[in-house]
Amino acid sequence: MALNRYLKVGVEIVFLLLIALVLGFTYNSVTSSGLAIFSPHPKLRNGADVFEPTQIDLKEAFSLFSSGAVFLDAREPDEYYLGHIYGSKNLPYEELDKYSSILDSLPKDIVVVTYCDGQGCDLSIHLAQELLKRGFRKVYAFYAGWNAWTNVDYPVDVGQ
Amino acid sequence: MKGILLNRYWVFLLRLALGGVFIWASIDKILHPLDFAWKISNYRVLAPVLVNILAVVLPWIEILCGMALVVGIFTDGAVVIICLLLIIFMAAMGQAVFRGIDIGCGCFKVTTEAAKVGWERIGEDFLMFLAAINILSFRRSNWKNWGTIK
Repeated sequence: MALNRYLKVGVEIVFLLLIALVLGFTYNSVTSSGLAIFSPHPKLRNGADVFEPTQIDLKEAFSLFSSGAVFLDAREPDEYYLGHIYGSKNLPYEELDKYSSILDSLPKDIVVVTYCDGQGCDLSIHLAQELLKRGFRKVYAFYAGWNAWTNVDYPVDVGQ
Repeated sequence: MKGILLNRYWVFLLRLALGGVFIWASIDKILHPLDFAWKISNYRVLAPVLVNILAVVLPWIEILCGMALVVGIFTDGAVVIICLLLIIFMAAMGQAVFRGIDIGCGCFKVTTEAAKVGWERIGEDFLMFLAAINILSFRRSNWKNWGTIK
């Protein structure tokens, strides 16, 4: 009878899916690379919530620049307007709420580099920490920032 | 044409090939769940909890169905699941292309070497879908001989 055959297929499907479910969750709970299921963004189960951004120097910053990383200028808009790293977006740390829509538009697994003036300005670190908290994974704080960049005449831009 | 498509040896070959592809595709995802979860998240279709659950379960569905096809147990169920999966994959990539989302596919590799979503990926999935339908048709045509076909 035809019904029995469809029933057989249905049972096979349910069986396969159930075993996959069991295996999947079991594996996830025993492996060190398992995921935290209820996390709002993909996160390891035992990943220490490390909100300490990786700091990079001028050489590494330029290397990331050359490979198309997104640069975020943490300074105030008028400072950004007077001059900023070529291709960078302005994300003033002091006005983060106003600019959060820019953050939402970025995929969270792209490479992001934050920067500020350099010595005496740790907005680059703060902005990087903020990005990590929001789920960005590849965040680098270029502490030496604008001063170091212009010192060696790397590409810059002005205006909006 | 129908003779070849419904030839038991051709279908056996398809089973091995399709099953093998699915087993192969699942390995990187099982080994790197976090990267796979990010790949799913990039499609911007599912809620976060569903993204995580899918990242945990989907690779195992793939490997089990792949093995089922290769070994030849629960074949009907496995083929149907694979057909459904491929339809979902094609739809997911289709909407990504339509929305202009430039993302890594997450089909085989889930790291930076991942192939990009595009018509080629959708085309690959469609070919696999045809293979699955072929296997399914063969199986169905043999249901008349229920007692003699495993």
